[in-house]
Order: sequence, then structure tokens, then C-alpha cells
Amino acid sequence: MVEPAAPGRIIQYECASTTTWAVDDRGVIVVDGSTGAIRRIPHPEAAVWALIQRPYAWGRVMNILSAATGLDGAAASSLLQRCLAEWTAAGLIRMTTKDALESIAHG
Amino acid sequence: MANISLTQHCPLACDYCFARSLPDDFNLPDFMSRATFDWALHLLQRSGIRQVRLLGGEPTLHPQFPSLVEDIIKAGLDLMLFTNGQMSDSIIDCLAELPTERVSILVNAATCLFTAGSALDPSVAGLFRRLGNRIALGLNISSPAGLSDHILNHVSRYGLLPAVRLGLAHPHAAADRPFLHPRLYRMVGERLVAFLDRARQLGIEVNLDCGFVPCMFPNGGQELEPELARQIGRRCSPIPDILPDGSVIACFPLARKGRFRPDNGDDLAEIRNRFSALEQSFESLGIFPECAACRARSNGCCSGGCRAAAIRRLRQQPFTFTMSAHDTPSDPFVTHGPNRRETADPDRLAAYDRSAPPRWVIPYVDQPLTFWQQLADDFDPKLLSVYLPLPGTAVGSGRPRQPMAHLAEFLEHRLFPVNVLVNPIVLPKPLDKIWPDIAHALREFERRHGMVSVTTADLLLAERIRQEFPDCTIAASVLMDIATSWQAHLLNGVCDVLVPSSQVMRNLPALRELRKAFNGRIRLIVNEACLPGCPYRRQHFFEMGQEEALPHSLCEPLLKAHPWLRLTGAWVLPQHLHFYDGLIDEWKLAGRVTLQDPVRYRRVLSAYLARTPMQPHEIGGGPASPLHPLDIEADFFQQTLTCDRRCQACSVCREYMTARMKHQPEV
Amino acid sequence: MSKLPDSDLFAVPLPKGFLLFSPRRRLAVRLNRQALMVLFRIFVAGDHPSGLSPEMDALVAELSQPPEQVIPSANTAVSPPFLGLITTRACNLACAYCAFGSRTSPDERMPLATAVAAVDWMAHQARRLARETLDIHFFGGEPFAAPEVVDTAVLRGRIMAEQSGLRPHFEASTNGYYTADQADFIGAYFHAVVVSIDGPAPVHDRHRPAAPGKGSFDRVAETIQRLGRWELKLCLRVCVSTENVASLEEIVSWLGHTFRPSVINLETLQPTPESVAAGLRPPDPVEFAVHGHRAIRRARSQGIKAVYSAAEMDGPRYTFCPVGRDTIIVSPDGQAASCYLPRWEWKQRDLTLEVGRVDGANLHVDSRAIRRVRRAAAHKPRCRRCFCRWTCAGGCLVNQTWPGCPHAYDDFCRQTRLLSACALLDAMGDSAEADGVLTDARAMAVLAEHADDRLENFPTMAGGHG
Repeated sequence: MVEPAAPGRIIQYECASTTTWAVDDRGVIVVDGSTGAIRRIPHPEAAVWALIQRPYAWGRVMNILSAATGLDGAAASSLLQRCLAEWTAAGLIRMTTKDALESIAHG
Repeated sequence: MANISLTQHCPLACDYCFARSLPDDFNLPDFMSRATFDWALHLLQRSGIRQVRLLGGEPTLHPQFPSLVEDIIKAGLDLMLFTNGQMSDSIIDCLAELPTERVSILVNAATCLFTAGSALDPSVAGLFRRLGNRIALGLNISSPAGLSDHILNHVSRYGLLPAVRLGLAHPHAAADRPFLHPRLYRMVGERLVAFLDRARQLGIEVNLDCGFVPCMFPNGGQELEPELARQIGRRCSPIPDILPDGSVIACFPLARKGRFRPDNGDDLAEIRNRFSALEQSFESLGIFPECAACRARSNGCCSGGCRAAAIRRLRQQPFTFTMSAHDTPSDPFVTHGPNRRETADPDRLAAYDRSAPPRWVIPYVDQPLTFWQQLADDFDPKLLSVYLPLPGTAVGSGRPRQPMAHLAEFLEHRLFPVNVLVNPIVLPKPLDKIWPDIAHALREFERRHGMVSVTTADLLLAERIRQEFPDCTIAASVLMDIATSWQAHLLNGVCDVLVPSSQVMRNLPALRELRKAFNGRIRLIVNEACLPGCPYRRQHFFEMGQEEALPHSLCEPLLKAHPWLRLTGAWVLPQHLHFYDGLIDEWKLAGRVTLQDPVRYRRVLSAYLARTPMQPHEIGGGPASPLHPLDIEADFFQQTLTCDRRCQACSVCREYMTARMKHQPEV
Repeated sequence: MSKLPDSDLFAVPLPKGFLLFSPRRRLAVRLNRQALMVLFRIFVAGDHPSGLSPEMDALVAELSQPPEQVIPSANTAVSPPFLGLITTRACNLACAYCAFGSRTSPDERMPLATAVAAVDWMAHQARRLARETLDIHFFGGEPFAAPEVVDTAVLRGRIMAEQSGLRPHFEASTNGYYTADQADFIGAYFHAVVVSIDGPAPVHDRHRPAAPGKGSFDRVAETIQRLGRWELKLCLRVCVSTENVASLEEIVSWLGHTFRPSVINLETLQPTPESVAAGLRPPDPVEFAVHGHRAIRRARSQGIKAVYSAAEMDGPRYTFCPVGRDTIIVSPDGQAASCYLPRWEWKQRDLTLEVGRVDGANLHVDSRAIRRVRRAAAHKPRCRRCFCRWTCAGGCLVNQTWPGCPHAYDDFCRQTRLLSACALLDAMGDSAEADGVLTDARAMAVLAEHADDRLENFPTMAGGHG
């Protein structure tokens, strides 16, 4: 489970530089280039993968995820958190935290 | 079967050629050495292969080509030669002497040699005349137009074997070479049906190389003859390619994915096994997104097309997803951090989307509910909120009091979100003393009328409001006089919206700097209409907040002496809003006093929403705008957005006004 | 042999002879006057002449077969070919000829719940109709001006398709004026896209500015290039006016070489107050026919399909557009209609094209309304005498063939007739005759203005003497 950072901190998730993926009608296929592991992300988790790549603020991501999956706010948030944790553990994405002001100063 | 590539050299430069696509770092020799060739031949023999397929580049360029071929025949193997057809007479002589039944030649119908409507290259024609009965044609399709049936005519003209081999130009190991993109497959399939029909009429058999898929044909491949239909949809079962240095690859398009030197004892079966992991690993990928759920795939009729084309679909695109530290699972839609705040209201979310057209903040004027209902019906989606001074006596609004007879009804019906002004240019008391009254008044307003947004001219007051009302949208008023990026930076984390100072309202470079520095939204007042940097402004606003009646503008004598200064005022006409497109997130229309007439209000608002032309004297607002009918041309206005503001030394505005001024009564 | 109950035999005058066209039998043949007179006697006068040649006998036999029934019967189940979603009527361009009023349209966006309700309804329909795909088309304004609505519908559609055993299929008609990120999202998740581009920068920016004085070409061209790297079907739509008609062949060739689309759609400008104010005019119909046909041929030589929709000859139809095909198009306010034009446009023609509404979490469709719209779309008195009756099928019901519209040919009719005849001739392998038509002003005038193509009118027909 992802732990929220201290007040004034921002959590960011970045795609790992060795991760490639392709969308298909059954979900998303993600390849970890460092290990060669190939993984299929099925629906509805594939919706999370799509949304974290969009230039949306967190609230909009939650709105769309909730609407698309039919989950209420809490369940949608749990889905998001679970996916982020799993994908971080699998090395597909990396989590970083930074100070809020630092993130502003550096754009 | 196995392919032996004798060389990468070829005098032609077909852009789709896979042989040319091998990476430079493979460091291949110009020609396969004799020793390597002998080893390869031995490999094929002990693997039980009956046919040697020689390719290149152009294999006949190998200096020892005749003796290599002779060795193949002596070893009891058959030969298939892939060539561009251009070869010397001595090579033709060599091939002519070989047993006909053991040698077949596939001439690649390279575009440059087989141009429709032109005579065939003479050397190729010469080859055809001498060895036509051993030659079949091959065609690599690199574009839909490249599939032309004119090559079929050569079969009868030169007595070639009645067989044509078609291949698709697959992607290469080197990513930048042209290939037939799968999205063009359908177009090729449609032309292929006509090609096959023509070939059938001429009695020519067509064979398909790897990568053809059922869905590229209009009827899913069902229109093909059974023998041909069996050739489509099969996944490449690698015929290993032995490169000039003796290394082996599964195929040229997948050269990067696997290349090794076989051990001396290996045979082809063992080599294929080593490639099988590569085969299986990308099994789930097809050349189209539809492959994953395709019935032909699930039935085993198709394995998803060329593996290299499928792998090419994998993209590496960096992205960053940001979560505020305060987003908790139990309350997903409201954040309490200092930065972005989102609510479940899609309209609020839309306001953050800078690709959405900017919306408008408009003034409250004391009109009956029907006036506001009509505005809502006509313009609602383009309107963001209505602003009005915080009711009550807690603090002034920086203006004389305005009529409020219809205010209660307006607030009760909640036709629009409301933005309350708490923005006297100077607070009437020290903040600590006045803050409790302001907080109480805001709490009451929120309790009775819902979530508020607030505009304030004081940064300390903004910080207090932020702490007390974390979900409130806070705008830094134009009276806060934010003009530099450092000032804007100070607002980050406190204010959501910045209304730039009138000093920079007509200064696009300065506005760009503000935008870079400020994390929130930029809201521009289109008719604030004060003189930028006016030295009388602060006193004037203070006086406005003190008296019941509207005091005279203190800048009047200045404007009388220099009327052209009105052309520099902080205003922009509807027809010139586009100069700010992409820079501004929200617009604000001023006019609690000047637009009290409902007809004028609607006319001005409509013009701004539709960007239809108006003249400055029509838009209302502050004092520094022309009082007489005057056309403001786009070129002139644009010039003033980027000039260096050295008005004391410049005559542009003065000359413009003099040239266009019409003597009419002031309106 | 009985008389034709519904005219499906048309004789189109050419410079030499006539083109006999039976659209609902998918048959076209060139005949001389004598041969046509024989057919007239057989099928109109009821004569039975003997001594016909074997070819004529065969033709008569073929024409005696009952024609294909194109208009669905009243009992045919409602079968929407796709779900249309108008995510917003607003647009981020300021096209001079926009017929949707998008420059000043409200920025109203479809609520996410409405999009979800519509998608769920369509998934249910697709399952009920044993379809293979869940087809959703996105329109506007500019549909991607409301990206959150598109994202919701796409992601919901993918989930519902998976649950329903369907394959998702998403298409969009778009202006291409957005970021690379947005283009990549479309490339990854969509299956077909129609991007509007009216030619190289000068003419495109004249037609389709992002704002007064600001062009959109650079970004649109970049978007198209980017989309071309993905697997989706790439279609380009070209609006033709007097500005670009003379260079249409070069424009189509350039589009083909530069972007490698699958299809290029040619459409002529529909005049609006905005286009008139901008000084843009539709092309002369003859000029459009000549240049358009050349452009179509040029594209064909590049392996690309260029079409003028009204002159597509790939089979008979009774309606040109979504109206009448049971299409459900949902607007931002939740109303479902058969047409994607703004409501006020149909209203001014006294047309009722509403077929349902999203109410809360459900899309309710009135099947009686759909059947009523079918009838309206099939009833084309204006087109009864025109050989394009079952191919053009009257063009846009709202703008061309609304109830009570004048019957005289307009420029749309003229250019459609010319291009349809040439398309038929090309398909028959008679390109020379098509060229003959397009280089003979008198022949074009006769063909374009021929008031009654029906075989029963044949004895009074002029032309065809060569």
C-alpha cells in the first residue's frame, strides 16, 4: 500500500525508462525491458494505466476512473492505489516524493 | 531450409531492403569467407536440409560465387538463388550449366528495374532470355501502389516460371527504414484481390511470404483459393539466416532481438530451439490492437502477423503522475494541500484544463431574477461566476455601495457560482483586528449560500482565508498589483487565481512571465481601463471606498492634457481577445457601476463572448479608455502589446489618435 | 414481364450513347439509343419483341430480376450501426466555414454519467444484435475539446466490450489541433480517425484558422504525421471551395505522399453566414466535378481511396447519412437524435429527429421515433427522377432533401450527377468515356441538368447522339 507522504510533500510516479507497452482490445501489454518480463494488464486496471498517463490532476483522474469502472469514489481510489503499488513493486513505474515548493520551483 | 547471406552488398538501393537494415555494429565482413561458407554448408547437410537458399545483398557479387554454387551441387543439395537479376554474363553462364531441376532462381522485381510503362532493365532482360524457364519473380510490397500487376506481363513475355512470390516489406532492425505499416495492409489486401484475379487469368501461381493476415482482405481471406488461404495468418517459423560472419539470426527484421554463433556441433533444430523463446515471448502481441480479441487468432487461423511489426507496437513514452500528499482513500475528491485543489464538480475541473476555452467572471448588477435567468439560458456554459462585494459591514469592497434590492433573490436561486470581493485596496483596520469580522461574514455566507470563492487585494488576508477555508478558491485581485514573476511566486500555495496588475495587462511578455511563475490560473480583466502604473490609482481607490458617491478620477487632468494616453489603458476589445489566446485561463468583465443598464450589460457581454467588434467607448470600465467612437485596428493594438512602454519618448499612440479621432460628443 | 413498380432503371445521357443504370440490381451498362428503346418497349410499354441478340436477352433477364430491397421494412428491428457521442459543441478552432456554429457554441460538455449511460446502452444493443464490435463514434464541435468525456467513454467502452464479448471500435471526426500527447492517446486507443485538412498551409489556414490571424496547419500536420505511426485507419477530410478546387489533384497527391492515409474524403463547402463574411464560396459544380474526378483517379494510382461521398458507387442505399439508419447520436445535454447537426437546424426544416434521451443513468430510446425517422429518410420525392436516387440518396436530409424542399437541381445535385456518372464509367473500365464527359461542356450541361433519368421518360430524352 502506498503511504502518503508528509504534509507539503508530493508523490509522483514515473514510467521506468525500460518499460514499454502496447494497448490492445483486451487491455495493455507491458514489457519490462530490464528483465524481459511481459505482463498483461487487464480491464479494469488497464483504465488506471491509461489515466495515469494523461495530463490530468488527481481529482479528474478519480472522476473518470469512477465513471468508467462504475466504482464509487472510495473503491476507485483503492483500485488506483492498488495498481500503483503493484506496478511499483513490479518495477514498471517508480515512485518519488518531493517537496511541494521544490516541485514548483523546478516546474 | 536455411538462408545463407553471402554479402550485404548490392548495386541497388531499394528502400525496403531488409539486408541493408542490419545495424552497423554487427560489423559484418564484405563477403562470407570460404571457411564460413563451408561450415554453413556442413551445418545444413548434417541438419538434413535439401535446399540451400542463397541471398544477400546480391549474392552473385561474391567473388567465388561460381565455385560456391558448384560445391552446393556437388554436395547433393538443391539451390535457390535470390537475386536482383543484374549479373554478369559469366555468372549467367555458370548458372546455365547447372542442372535445371536442381536450381531455381527468384528475381526480386526491384522497383527501379521493373518500372511500369518502361522497358525492362537490359541486363535483367538478358537473364530472362537465357534462363527464363528457371526463373520465378518475387515482389516486395512496400506501399499499396507498389502492388501492380504489370510484372505479370513479364512471365509470358520471357517465358518465366508461372509463379510469383509476394512479400510484405516488414519493419527492420534499424528503426528508421521504410516498411509497409500494418495500417496500410487493408489497402494492399484490396489491391491484392485484383492482382490474384489477374494472375489466375494468366495461369500464374502466387505464393505468399510471411506476414499476410486474413483481416487485410475484404472478406477476411475467404475470397482466396484454399491453397493460398493456407499461406496467410501463419506466424513466422524462423528460417534461420546465416550472416556473412557465420552468426545466425531468426530473421532480418528481428536481427536485434537475437543473434549468436552456433556451436560447432549445433544443427538447425537446435538453432531453432534457441529462437523459440523469442517466438514465444511476444506471442500475445499482434500487429493490431484488435489481434488480442480476434476470432481468427483464437481459432488458430492467424497468429497475429509479423512478429517484428507486432513488437514495433511497443512504445516507450515517459509520463509522470502526481498525487498530492493529502489525497486519502476515504476522501478522494477533495484535497487539502496547499497546491491544486479539485472537487467533484466537473465545471471546476474543466476550469483547470488549459485546453478548454477561458470562461468569464461577470459583475453583479442589481437586476431582477429574470435578467439572470436569461443570462443563464443564453450564456451559462461560458460563464464561470458572478462577483459581488461580501455582504454586510465587515469590510469594504473598494467601491461605493451599489444597489442590492434583488441580491437576496439572486443568491437564493444560485443560478451562478458566486465570487465575493473582500478587496479594499487597504484594509480599514490592522488584519488581526478585522480578521474575526471577515471570517464570521465569510462563514455566514458559506453557510447560507454554499461554497465561496473570494477575491482579495491583501496577501496576508489571503493566507488567513486559506487556513480557515481550505476549499475556497482564492483570487489575488488586480489591486494586489502583481506584475512580476517574483510576486507571482509568492502567491503559489496561497492563491488559486491571479488577476494581473493593470500595469501588465497590455504587456504580453510580462504576462508570459507571470504564467510561468504562477501555478494557478490567470484571470484578466478586459476593461479595468486604468492607466498602467497610474500614480493616482491607490489614492483614488481609497477614496472610492470611503464615499457614497463615485469620486472623480484623479487622473482626469492628465488625460485631458494627453488624451492619447487613453490608448494605453488596461482594456482589450472583444475582437482582439485572440492575442491572449493560450495565455489566459479566465476573463473578467468589470462593470458593477458602468454596466448597470441591463441592455448595455448584455450587449457588452455578448460581444465579448462572441468576440464581435466593439469600440472602446462602448465597453465601459475605468477612466482611461477613449470617450469618442474610435476604431482600434488589430495591427496597432498588437503593437502595443509588445512595445517597450517608453511612452514619454514614443509617438505611436499619439499619432494614431490624431489620425483617427472623430469629433463627436462624448458618450 | 411486368412493368417496373418503382423506377430502378435510369438512362443517363452521355456524349455517345447512354448509361443504363440499375442501382438496386448493381448493374450499369452503356447502350445506344436503339437498345434503350428496346428496353423501354419491354419494361415500360409491355411489348415483347422477338429476335433479340443473346447479349440483349441476357441483359433483359438480369433486369427482370427483382431489385434489392434497400429500405428496411417497418418491422425491421432497431439496429443502430454505431453510437454517436457529441462530447461538446465547442471547438478550439475558428474555421471560416463551420456549419456547426462551433466558434460561438456553448462550452457545455457532456456529463460523464451521460456518456456512461449511452455506452452501456450501446453495449447492450450490440450484444442483443449479436454484433462483433461495440462501435462508438465521437463528434463535435471538436470532440477532444472535452477530453475527459472521451476518455470516460473510451475506457468504459473497453470495459463493457470485454464484459460483453465484443471488440471495441472507436472512431472520431476531429480537427487535429491538439498536443502530441492527445494525438498519441488517439493513436493508441482509437481504430479510425477522420482529420480535417484542406490542403497545404496557405489554403488550410485560410479555411481553418485557430483564431483570426492564426493558422492551425502546423499543428494539424504534425498530428496527422503522428497518427500515421499508429495502427488506426487514417482518413483525411478535405473541404473544397473556390480557394482550392483548381489544385485539388495536386492537393490529393500531396496528402497521399505526405501522410499515407487510407481514405481522402472530398466535401464541398456548405455556405454559412461566417463563410460568406470570410469571402469563401463553394466551388462551381462543374469545376469540382472535373478536378474532383482527376483527384480521385490520382489517389487511386497511389493506392489510396479518394471519395466524394455522394458519388460512392459501392452499393445502393436509401439514406446518405446517419439519419434513417437507426443511428443514435447523443448530445451534451443528453438528448439522443438521428442527426449530429444542432437541433435548431432541423427545427427550421420542421423535422423531428429526436429519438430518445438520457435520463439519470439510462439512455431511453423510442423505437417508434426511430421508425418515423426511417420513413422520413426514405421518402425523397425530390430525387425520384434522378439516377443518383439510390446512391447519393438525397444527400443530407436537413440541408438537401427536407420535406417540402424545392425539387429543382442545385449545385450539389449537379456535381453529384457528374461525378456519379464518371465513377460508374470508371468502374466499368470505360475511363475514356468518363474523360469524354468531363472535357465536353455541352455533354456535362446535358447530364447535369437532365430532369428525368427514368427509363419511362426515355422517348423524350435528348442527348446520347455522340
